[in-house]
Amino acid sequence: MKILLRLAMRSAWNRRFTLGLMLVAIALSTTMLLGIERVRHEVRAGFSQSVSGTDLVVGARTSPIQLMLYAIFRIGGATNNIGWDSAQALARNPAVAWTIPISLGDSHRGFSVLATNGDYFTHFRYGSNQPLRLTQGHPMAGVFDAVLGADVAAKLHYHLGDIIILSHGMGGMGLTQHADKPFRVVGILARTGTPVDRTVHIGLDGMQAIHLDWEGGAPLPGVHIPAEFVKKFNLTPTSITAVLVGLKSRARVFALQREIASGQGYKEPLMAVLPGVALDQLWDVVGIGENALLVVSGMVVVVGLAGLVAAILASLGERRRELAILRSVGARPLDVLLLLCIEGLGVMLAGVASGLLLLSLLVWTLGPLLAEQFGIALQPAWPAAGELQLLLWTVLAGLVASLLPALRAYRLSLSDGLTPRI
Amino acid sequence: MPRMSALPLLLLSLASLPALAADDAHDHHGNHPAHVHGVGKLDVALEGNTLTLHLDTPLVNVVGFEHAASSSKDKDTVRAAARTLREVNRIFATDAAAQCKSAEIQLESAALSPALLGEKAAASAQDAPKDGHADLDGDFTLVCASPGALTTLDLNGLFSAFPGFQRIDVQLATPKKQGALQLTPGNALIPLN
Repeated sequence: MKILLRLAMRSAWNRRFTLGLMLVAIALSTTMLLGIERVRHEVRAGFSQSVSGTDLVVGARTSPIQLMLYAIFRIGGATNNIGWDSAQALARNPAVAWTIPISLGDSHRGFSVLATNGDYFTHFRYGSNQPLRLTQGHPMAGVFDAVLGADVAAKLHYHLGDIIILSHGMGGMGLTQHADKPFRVVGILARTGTPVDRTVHIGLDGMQAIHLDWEGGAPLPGVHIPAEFVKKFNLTPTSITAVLVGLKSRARVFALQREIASGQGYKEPLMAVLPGVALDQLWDVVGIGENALLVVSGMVVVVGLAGLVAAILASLGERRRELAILRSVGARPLDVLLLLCIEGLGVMLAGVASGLLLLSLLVWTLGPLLAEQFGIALQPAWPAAGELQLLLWTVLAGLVASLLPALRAYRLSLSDGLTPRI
Repeated sequence: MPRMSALPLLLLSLASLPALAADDAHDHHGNHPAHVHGVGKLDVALEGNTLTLHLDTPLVNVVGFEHAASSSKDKDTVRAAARTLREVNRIFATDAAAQCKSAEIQLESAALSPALLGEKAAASAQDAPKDGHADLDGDFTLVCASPGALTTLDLNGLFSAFPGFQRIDVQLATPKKQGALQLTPGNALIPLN
């Protein structure tokens, strides 16, 4: 067996160029297969980590998935707003323990601006019921105070006391600036690994104040209210995006959801969704696409294997003499079969290993970019159970595939390779 | 010139469109919940030792019709269905070790009288169905002696007792998680932990 192994290695080294190409093909297909599985896993984990302890998200009637995505993850189309009086009616409901009003829509250099109040820092939870923690400073106190998420502060190199200017709306360049009413950084939050890191938090009164002299999405010409006078105006918001609700008793969650859906007691149609339920519904929809991706990457692996089989089969022609000489010096047909199996398995294992290496390299280099652009936090890690299973199947399929040329070599007769043909 | 005279009329009718739409938006008394035959909705909330279930289903899934029960045959069907629904341990089976007992059951349908459903007092008045469709709402409260042993809720009994159910959409809220799942006759277990 040891001799066979050495023979296989020597022989493979002789054909290192062809086999090397096969190795690259297998490595790339493994990277793709594992990469998709890794991203899928991380996206799900990241989403479910982002909100915890919130029983209901209440907003305008739309798809539950849209409301949850926009309010919690700032992804997708904006939902309609709800009236401030509805939010207050909700807060007065006897079943409700706490509410966090949130208002979205503005941005600061690509980061979302979320207007809320002090309850956000008291009641918001992420991960496994972890509260938000400030590394520096304090929550908003004045009208023009801002608290930054960890990524915002790190990426834009902001410190306590820095002055920032918000833009009206989301998107890139060309947005109208709220330049007349700058905000001061008063706090920086600890990293959470959730959308909170990429958010600029201001007070609801601040959000109202920067839009005082605005109408129809633009500053009113000729009207300018200096920042120092805004306190003379009523800074209670008229409408907000959504309310996060915590209940006194979880058993009441569905009763309150039905009560809100019935529309009784509120001036406008509202909808309440359980964040976890909406996420499950989202995975149901996304699952179809994920499976399609996995099938495609599975096919890429199959193509890689087919290439491997073709390469080994083609090499049988070149190796007729080599194998015949092995037979003539005493190798049994079974030894020839084993020789080719070892070669196939070796290439497979080496390919899968370099695929894993390549994936780790990619995650290491591109991971920060992914986190920044899409909020998917990928960490270099050992393959998880699901990934190991995929790898095992890949190697097994490679072994089975290499049996085909091996069987052919097994059947080739001794005389075939030794009789010279023209 | 008939064309010219038609233009103001057209503008006028266009101008009235937003007003109509606004009217519609204000009329939230006409709330029309989803009603899909064959599909039921079940909310499951677990808190402490109490399991709270709310079943919302088109009436047809349970009794095969959605009109008021007038004939004696219809009435018998409703009574039998209500009796089955009240056998909570049969239709919502829990782990025996958890020792769950039904504490409170309330059945309600706009098309049926409370007495027919086995209710003692008249339930809160619902609007009579106007579009020929009616729902049945069931509230079930179970109290479990050892809730730690509660791992699954089995709805196979419900599917076999009422073949009208093709699918049940479940919303779940337990101390550990929230979630959604779809149950079908072959796949009727709700994991609770």
